[in-house]
Amino acid sequence: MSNEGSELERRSRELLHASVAELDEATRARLAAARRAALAELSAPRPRWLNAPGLAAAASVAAALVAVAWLQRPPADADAVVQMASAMDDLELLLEYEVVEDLDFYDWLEQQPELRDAGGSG
Amino acid sequence: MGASLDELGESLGDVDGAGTTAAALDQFLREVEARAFRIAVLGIRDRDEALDVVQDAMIRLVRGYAHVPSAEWPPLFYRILINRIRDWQRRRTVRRRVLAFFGTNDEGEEQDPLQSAPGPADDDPAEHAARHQALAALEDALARLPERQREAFVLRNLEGLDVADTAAAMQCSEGSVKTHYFRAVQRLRELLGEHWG
Repeated sequence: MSNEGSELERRSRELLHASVAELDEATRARLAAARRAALAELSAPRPRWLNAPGLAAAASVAAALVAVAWLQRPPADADAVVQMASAMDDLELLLEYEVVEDLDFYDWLEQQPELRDAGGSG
Repeated sequence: MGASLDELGESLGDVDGAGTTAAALDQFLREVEARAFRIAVLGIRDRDEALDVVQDAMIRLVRGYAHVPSAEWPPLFYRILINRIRDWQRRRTVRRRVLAFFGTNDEGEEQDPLQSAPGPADDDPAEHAARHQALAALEDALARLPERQREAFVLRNLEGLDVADTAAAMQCSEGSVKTHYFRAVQRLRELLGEHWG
């Protein structure tokens, strides 16, 4: 039995590795671009306020409120459901900071000397 | 799109330290990216979505763990990747339930990864076709495994993680990894018996 299992494992491993080796150039190029984009994060430190522990809690509460509101008053048609599902997706993204992190505006805001000085003196 | 490693190091103001980190991260990601993509495709069965998930996992590793010793990157990276795949599957499940409740579905969005598989390589066409047929059977069987069993199987077999690193990636005990893996092999043997027997 263990030999049979080992043969299955060996063959699976072989096939999976072959499928990796045969990845097409277009996919490899996209993976390389993804890697470069990830490494660019090293030179783009996130604003400190994004690390605030209360942000995740606030977003969680918002998500819960949307869910409760939806359960109490379900949408009447399929289009509304699709919109609701989309809104929930958006909310999930917010929960994961992805949308917020990508907002260049906040980055710009933090770098404005007059605003930074005003915040420091007030 | 991305900066060179030298530029990254200079922008951090510490050419030696930051440059070394960037180079090490680049090497690590370069080594794992193709296998990570295959793992994502097996879990998601959509190449474009899988690419997005892998890129997201890379970004999260760089943002959150560039400073930790490089030996810790493999389990951390796969932990992030597995979580992103689970998140994607969870969102799809919720979307399908909601849409199914109202009599619609998005089944058409799912792609068979084999349909967009690369074209034939330079080896013998018959051998290539046989290998693709076997791979198709394996992918189909893996898709029918419970999530945890599939994760244990691909992390151990494709990525080659040991039991401890697999447990760290899956956020479970080493005993659970052994159980999931054993059951995965058992189930695959049942599913693939007629193809591989």
